[in-house]
Amino acid sequence: MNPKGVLREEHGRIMKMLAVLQRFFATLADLKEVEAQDLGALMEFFEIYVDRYHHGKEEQLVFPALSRAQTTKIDSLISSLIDDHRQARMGMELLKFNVVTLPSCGEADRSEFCERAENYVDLLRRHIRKENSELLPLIEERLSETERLQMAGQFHDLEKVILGSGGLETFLASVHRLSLKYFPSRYDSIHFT
Amino acid sequence: MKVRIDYSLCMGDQNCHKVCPEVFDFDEDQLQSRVRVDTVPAHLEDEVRQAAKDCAPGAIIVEA
Ligand code: SF4
Repeated sequence: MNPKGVLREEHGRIMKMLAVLQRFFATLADLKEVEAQDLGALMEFFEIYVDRYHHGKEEQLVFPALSRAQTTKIDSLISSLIDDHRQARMGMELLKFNVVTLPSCGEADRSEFCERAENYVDLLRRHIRKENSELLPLIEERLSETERLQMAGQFHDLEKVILGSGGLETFLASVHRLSLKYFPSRYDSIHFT
Repeated sequence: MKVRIDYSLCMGDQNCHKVCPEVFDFDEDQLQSRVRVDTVPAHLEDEVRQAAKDCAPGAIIVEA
């Protein structure tokens, strides 16, 4: 698949998991073992799939390639996107800190956690819309077919390094399981790729 | 047929707008798509179903 299509599909998965994260907190009454497992899977998805894998791919491969293509205004766009990535990373660090104490925490700490999760969800949603609108079209407009093919190969190599063998499938299964669990009437098999 | 968009899921890639511009508009300010009809005209129903199927986050909800 071409790099634009790959990133678009990844954005779709991230949007699904952001909706799950939001629903998780909206319905959270008590953190029993099952919910703790779901929360663990969500945190792992955002920390590894989103931050290290998806954002890593953009920062190491997509942004430098577009910067080399000297696209108009690309540098200011890239710096605003990297700033979003940095803020999302910081937001995830704060959430991780809360996760450790969540099972035993009081109402005030729990509401602080929900607020931090909402801020994180908002930030990533706006960021993905900005990328879909401004960044992804440039991949096809500004990079040659050879450059895009080369990038697709580099995506594959990075997947092996960051996620390891079978890692991607594990995350896809998580997206599938949690989307169906938290939005039972919404999805059917056509929405899982 | 009715169609609506879940705005919490819409990621603004404009795919639906490309597949069926008669039904899906794009809001340049919010960077999200909008439905421009109350009821989907019969001759566009297949295109709308296709747009829903292709919508990566599953933001398009088709109601019979
Ligand atoms: S295809 Fe789906 S995600 Fe993309 S703009 Fe349309 S409704 Fe939004």
